[in-house]
Amino acid sequence: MEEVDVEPAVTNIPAASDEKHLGFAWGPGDILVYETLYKASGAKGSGCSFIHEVRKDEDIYSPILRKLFNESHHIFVGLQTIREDLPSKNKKPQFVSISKNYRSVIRACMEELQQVAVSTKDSQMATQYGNQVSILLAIELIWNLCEVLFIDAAPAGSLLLHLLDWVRLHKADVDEKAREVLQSESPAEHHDYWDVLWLNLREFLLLEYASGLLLITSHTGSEEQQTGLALSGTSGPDAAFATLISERFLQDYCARGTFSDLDLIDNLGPAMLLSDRLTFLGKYREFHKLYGEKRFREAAKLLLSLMTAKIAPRSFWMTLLTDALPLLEQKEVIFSADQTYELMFCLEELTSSLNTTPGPDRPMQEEDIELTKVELLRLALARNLAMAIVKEGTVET
Amino acid sequence: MESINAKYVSQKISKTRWKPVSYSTLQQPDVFATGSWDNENNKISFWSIGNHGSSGMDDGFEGDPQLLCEHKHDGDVLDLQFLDQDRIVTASSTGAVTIFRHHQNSQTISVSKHWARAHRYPCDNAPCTGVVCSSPEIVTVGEDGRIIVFRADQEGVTRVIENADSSTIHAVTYLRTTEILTVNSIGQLKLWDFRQQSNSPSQILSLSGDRVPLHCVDRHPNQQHIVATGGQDGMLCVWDVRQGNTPFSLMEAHSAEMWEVHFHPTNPDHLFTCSEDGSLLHWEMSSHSDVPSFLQGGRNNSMMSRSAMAPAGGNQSLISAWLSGDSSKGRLETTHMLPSQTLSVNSLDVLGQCLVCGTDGEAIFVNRQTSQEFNATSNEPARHNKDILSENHVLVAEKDRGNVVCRQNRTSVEGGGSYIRCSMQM
Repeated sequence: MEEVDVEPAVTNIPAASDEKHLGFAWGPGDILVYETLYKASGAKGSGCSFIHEVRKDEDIYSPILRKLFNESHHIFVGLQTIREDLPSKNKKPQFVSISKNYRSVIRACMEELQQVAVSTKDSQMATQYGNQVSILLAIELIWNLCEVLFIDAAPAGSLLLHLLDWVRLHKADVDEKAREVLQSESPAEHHDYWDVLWLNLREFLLLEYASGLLLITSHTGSEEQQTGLALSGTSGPDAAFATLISERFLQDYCARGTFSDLDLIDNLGPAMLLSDRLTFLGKYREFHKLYGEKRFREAAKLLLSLMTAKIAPRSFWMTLLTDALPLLEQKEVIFSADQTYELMFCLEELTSSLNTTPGPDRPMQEEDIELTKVELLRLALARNLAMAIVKEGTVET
Repeated sequence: MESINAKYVSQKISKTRWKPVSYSTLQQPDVFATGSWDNENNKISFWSIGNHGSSGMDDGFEGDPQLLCEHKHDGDVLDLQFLDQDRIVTASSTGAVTIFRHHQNSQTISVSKHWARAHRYPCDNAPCTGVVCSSPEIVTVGEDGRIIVFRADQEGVTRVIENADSSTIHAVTYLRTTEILTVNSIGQLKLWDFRQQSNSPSQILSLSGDRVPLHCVDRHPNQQHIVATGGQDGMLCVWDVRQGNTPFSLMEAHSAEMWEVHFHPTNPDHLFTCSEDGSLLHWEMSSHSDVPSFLQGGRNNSMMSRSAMAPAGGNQSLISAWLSGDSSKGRLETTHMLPSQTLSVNSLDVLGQCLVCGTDGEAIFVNRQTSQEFNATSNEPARHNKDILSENHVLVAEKDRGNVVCRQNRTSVEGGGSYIRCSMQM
């Protein structure tokens, strides 16, 4: 048995006098209560001729809600009879249409309730209707989300589209509330403050999840286009979103050493300009392509520019420098002397910033690896510098 | 082309009837009445489907029933019939019989006449279970086993047949202008001739074997000796009241009680039944020599053939073919009219191209055939099984995964020489 969290509501029966006891009997939706005087022994007091009927004032059987119950029941029963022998991929469109059916029923009920709430003169009823509308709104919101995520379960590209749509659809609500809160004198004390904080957090979490999905699932050509489309639908939150996605990609690369979903990044197109992070991603990918095509000079130049033009985030510099290693180790000199100086400068900048934050709780191994990397780089850079100076100093004959 | 509208109305519908249209003008039905049951406050309502665009259907889309007006009703509405264009008669679970008048100009309803406790036990009310009218005469039957005759323009009761039945009389229908037919809860059909003064039936027919309560009865529009009944076991029986006392054909129609059976009033090749099992079936008799003319398979079957206005003679031959062992072959097709299963379908009515039904799921379904293009020569293969019937084989239609399947069945012979002779000779 669950513990009851709240105090039970007390209902006074005005007609019953204070001195008497109350007897009761349960009814199908109500309680019948009568006055009595219970005595352990001896004659009972004079009986009262009244029976009071007590029931909840929330009438869930209002005509409008009845329609909701009946129609959704009908849909439910229809759902049960879907043929079992169809393979599940054929059932999906059916399920989606049933889900949409449910949602439209909820919306229709909401609209009717809203109409009645507005037109009724009884303020208590209006509040009650208003509450019911809010509940249904929340239900429909959540249902919509579940439909997008679980029932429709589109491949990641179009899923993002749907999620973005969902966010946009319900953004208006959030924005309005946010504006209200911010405009008030002390936002932290606004009664909707916490609501807004949650609502925003909710969206953020949702976007996190979506981008994670994007990375995990596999892609086909058409899906990138869709995602590209999604990314190219520029507006404030989308830029942030785009940054988020690119961060993920980069982290992924650091962890795994290769890019997943190369095609996606390749086909970013104008979406690249959405955010710096995305631009970097695109350029970085270009670097890899150049490298793959053995256009080392161009690749090297690009790599350097990523750091010097500050396109690359600082956190990624180590990776970039590590990428430069094979270029430094080639027999042929790829980086010019000047370029090597610049690389060295970058490395020093990086290591100095790293040194200023010693991490006592960093494991010894990690520190060792980092140190080794730096040493290797320094060595490679020095060697390359030597070779470059020699080459540049040599007169071609 | 067919269109079905479902409207949720927040009341369980016990009865629904089309307002009659004048056949001469070929109008399609526009208004129907409904009665509710199982509510604290029951009511009767008038609805319009705006066939002529005359009722200002701005909000609803075409065909969506719009509420015109309603009136509270004391007790469950156990039966409802149109007396004329403006008045309906209702049978109540309180035993009362009431005439309501629908004022079309003001869209209001008023009580025109009320006979409280028309049906009663000595110390209690008895539900009035059925009403049928042929203006100005009204005949009602009830659980008390009485048959009462009223006149709409008179205050008192015209005639009472006491103890017409020792069990509940569930339904009544006119056989001829002076004859009625009642069905009761012990499976009997009783013919009553009002020209006779005696209070006993002129004929009693019943199914031998189990005495299954009969819930509904309807007479063939043109062939007055042919009657269809439905009962608690969901069997559809077709009787010839002139011959014998057993049904001429017996079909397993529904898996639960059948609540109503209706011949289409102008195209009686078509029969409709509805049931507690949540289905509404359309039965179509067709006769053809070579090409199946009414053969249109699948769920979205056309309701009516082009011969909706065919001369009665043409239809007559088909039904006679049912009974007389005509050598022409025929087929029986059955289709579900509702898109999916619902709670009990309590009532249906069909008129012209339109079908209306009400359910315990608090929904009204209106089904309209909007297109006139019924390809009479369609060769589309039927998507459900059919069997060509031969002599002395029983036609059994049973529900099979949502389709009605006609197949052969063994004849059952009950002991003692009396048996259910079920043959459909076509």
